[in-house]
Amino acid sequence: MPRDALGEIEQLVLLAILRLDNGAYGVPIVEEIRERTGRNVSRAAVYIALRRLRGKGLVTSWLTDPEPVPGGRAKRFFRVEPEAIARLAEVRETFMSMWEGLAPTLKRHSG
Amino acid sequence: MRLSPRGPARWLLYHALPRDEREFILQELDEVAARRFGGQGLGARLWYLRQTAVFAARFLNERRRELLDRSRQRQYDRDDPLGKREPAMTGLVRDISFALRLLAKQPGFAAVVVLTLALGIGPNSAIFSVVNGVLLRPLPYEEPEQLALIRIDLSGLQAHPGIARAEVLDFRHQAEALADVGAVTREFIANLTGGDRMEAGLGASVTPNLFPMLGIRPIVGRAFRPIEETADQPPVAIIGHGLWQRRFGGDPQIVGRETEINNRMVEIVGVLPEGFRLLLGPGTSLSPDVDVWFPLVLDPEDRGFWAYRAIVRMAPGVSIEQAEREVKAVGAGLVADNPDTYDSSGIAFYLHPLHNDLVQDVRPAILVLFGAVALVLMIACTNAASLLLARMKSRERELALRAALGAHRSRIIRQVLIESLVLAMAAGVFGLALGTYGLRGLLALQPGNLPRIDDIALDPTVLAFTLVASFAASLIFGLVPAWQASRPEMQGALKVGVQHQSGLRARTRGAMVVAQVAFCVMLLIGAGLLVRTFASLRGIDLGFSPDSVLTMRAAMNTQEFSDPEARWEVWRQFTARIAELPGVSEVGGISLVPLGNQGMIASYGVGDDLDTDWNGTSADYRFVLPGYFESMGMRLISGRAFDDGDNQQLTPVAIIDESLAAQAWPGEDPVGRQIAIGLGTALNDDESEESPRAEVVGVVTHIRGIDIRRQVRPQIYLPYRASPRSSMFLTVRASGEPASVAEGIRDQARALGLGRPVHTVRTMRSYVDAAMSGARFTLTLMATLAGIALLLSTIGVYSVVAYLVRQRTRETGIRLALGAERADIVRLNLREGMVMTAIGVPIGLVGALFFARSFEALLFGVAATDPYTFLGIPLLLLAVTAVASWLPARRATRVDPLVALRSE
Repeated sequence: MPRDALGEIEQLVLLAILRLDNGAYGVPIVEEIRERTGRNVSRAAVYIALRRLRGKGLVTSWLTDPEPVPGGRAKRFFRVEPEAIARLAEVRETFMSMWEGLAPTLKRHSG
Repeated sequence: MRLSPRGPARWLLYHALPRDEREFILQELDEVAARRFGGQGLGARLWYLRQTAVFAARFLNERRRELLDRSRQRQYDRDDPLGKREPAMTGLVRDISFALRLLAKQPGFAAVVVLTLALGIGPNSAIFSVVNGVLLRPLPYEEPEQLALIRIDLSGLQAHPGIARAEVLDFRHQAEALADVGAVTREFIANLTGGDRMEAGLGASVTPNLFPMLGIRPIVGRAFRPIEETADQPPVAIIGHGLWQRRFGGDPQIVGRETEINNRMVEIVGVLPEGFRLLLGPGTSLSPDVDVWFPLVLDPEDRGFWAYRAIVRMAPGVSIEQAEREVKAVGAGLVADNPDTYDSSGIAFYLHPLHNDLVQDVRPAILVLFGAVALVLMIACTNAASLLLARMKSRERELALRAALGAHRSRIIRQVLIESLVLAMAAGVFGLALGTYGLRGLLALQPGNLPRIDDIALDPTVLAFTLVASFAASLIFGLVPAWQASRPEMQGALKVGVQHQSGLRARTRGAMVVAQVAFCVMLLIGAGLLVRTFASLRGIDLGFSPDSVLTMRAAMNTQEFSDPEARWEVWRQFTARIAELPGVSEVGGISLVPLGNQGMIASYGVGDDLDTDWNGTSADYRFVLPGYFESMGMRLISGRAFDDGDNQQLTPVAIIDESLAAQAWPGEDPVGRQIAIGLGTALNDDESEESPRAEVVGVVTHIRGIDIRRQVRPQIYLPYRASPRSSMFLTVRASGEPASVAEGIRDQARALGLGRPVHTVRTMRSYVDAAMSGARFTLTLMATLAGIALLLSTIGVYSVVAYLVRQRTRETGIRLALGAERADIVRLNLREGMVMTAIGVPIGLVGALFFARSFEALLFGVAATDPYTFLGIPLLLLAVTAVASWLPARRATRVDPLVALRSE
């Protein structure tokens, strides 16, 4: 794979952020992925994916105001950049074209 | 909200995470923990630990990857497009993080391995604490390797730890190899009567040079002055730190204060440092708890009492052999110059290094136990290796892939070894905790004869040892799996369905079980022999019956009761009143209770020897009150016991024990015969009484001494009135609980106005138990170790047979489909386990022969090659492993042939 290709977990993270109205911090991102995919994806892997995505410029982050409780701290939220959305679309196109017409074959082999 | 497990886990995580991420990630982990567990409790901690391991591993790896990218970029720029060289440290970090991640994914496996190893490392840590504290650590004195104790052989005594005062001076003046010679008496009771509270403490007398010789300086006040070694000096004392705090409230003005001790006003001149103990070897009767020290007066005329423990400091550069030669030479000169003092059997002097002397009795047992825990560690390591090997199967493809991608064989070995190291280090931590608790339990067994118990602790040396042991363990159990994992044949695993690795793996695991069984046999036989030893010890005829007997020391004010007849009257009344107390069936008294103390020793003469030569005879003698033998349950073999009428001045009488009777008048009844007792040449520091001749009026059973295994000197009993003393041990046989009569006795003591506290209240049973405590300690330990070994080996057998069963699933299916009986399948699999055991047992028996011989000195009543033990243990092991093999074998028959045939 070329250096800046999207890994599987990176795709899942981007999609999760988008599902969360394009604004979420680490904890709900992990929960979203686990709920929708049914996989017990590693929490640490998600954070690493976020870091890489930031490095590639595909997500940006900002700090919210501190929580209105004693000792409350600011949270770091992420949003997906337009370039990332374009790349996701690319990936989807690629896989959809490979999948096309294969549904019956799939059914046969999983019997 | 912050999660409570701060500390190591959080620290690790904090430093493993990148600077710009750490605060946010930690905060979000706290949030999840709060949601799931409420932020507290064991569940939260475990979850947090797990997250720490995973996050640390992944982020460290990520950092490594980033570094690699950067270095590749640099190398590319420097025209090295392939970038093959990998910075070394990042490889190590990767391996560690990989290992952590792998183990976090299989916490069950990791836990089992860590627990198994901890069961091996823990006991090693505990026993090493004992080895370190007792055998390795130098004594707490200045240049302790230059210190030694003089022992003598004399007149039927061997390795007696005392010499005479004149001899102390002789050695001081004549032996040039000795820089200095000091002496100390045995301990005695120091009655502290000044002030509002009476207290019976322990005292001893020392020459003024002794403390400086050991490098001990008082923390308050002064040491004794040399002149205080001579007679007629004002009475002074130096007290111990504990007494200073306890009785005098740590009074800073203690120096110069006067207090009444043993009926004299004594000036306290100094206080010793906290924790000071004078540690001397067996037979010296000097407790580490001595509170009061008096100056010892050295009388140059006193050649008769060999009761002064002589500690010497060798001159610089002098070896122990040189010093001993000189001591012997001086000794020979003394014998030549003083023919009247030493009888013709002469006297032989020896020099024992102080530390050696202190530990000589216990060293064999400690070393045996150290060997035993090493065996347990070996078993634990082979178990761990076996588990690791089993797990290799699931990693076949991963490892083969690595090899195919060009990983060098040494890399793979390193990877597996690092996994072993991580497991071993974790096991080391648990093992240390286990060892610490185990040690506390050990010492609670109160091994009475173990010296320097206070020096046994978890110190840096023990920690270092545990670290080294863990490291060694990781190599031992990691090497074989590592080597196996890296074999070129692993490539074959890439092809699906190829199974040839498992044959080698199974054989290796089988070999490991054989080794475990062998070690286990050795330990079980060791434990078995000790069990029989202990049983023999318990079965020894002590010569009296210790149950239901209470003993205590009673004393009367010596000034108020100075007339011997008055003293006798007090004892008579006292014992009479005690006899009337409810719950008391018999009362008696003795000068020194048996099994409690080294007795007083005298030579004796019988028959024609009456007047002259008492060559080589020595006996214990004690003074008793009427009723003693009955209270102790000692059997009167012939004649009579003492009664109130026995007054030594008019008709001297004595009662002897059966062994003296057998020695002196074999086959005859000694009652009515004459015996001469050489109290004038007694080896004690008591006042010398003249009692040359007495008539034997009775014969009683022989009583065992402090080391209940060995026959002791014969025993002579003299009536109280031969030496009316102010202090006696009372022996009271109770019809019920012995302890219940103690209060009543104290009341009577007060009512009679004895003026001294009753103390050292103990049951005879406790003395007997204390005498056996050493043997009990060793046995308990060995049995525990053997138990651990058996458990580990059984698990080893079980898991290997279970593994083989799984391997054979397909084959089993075929057999069943072809009509094999289920019983045949069971037999086939059962055989696997039994074959391993059958090979291991003979190897273990051979090892056990050597092992048992190494602790022959600890055995009693059983031979080191005892056939019952050597036969019984293998049978036991075969039975246990049969069950351990049968369980998985039986499960093999539950296989559905169709399912089995389809499995790979």
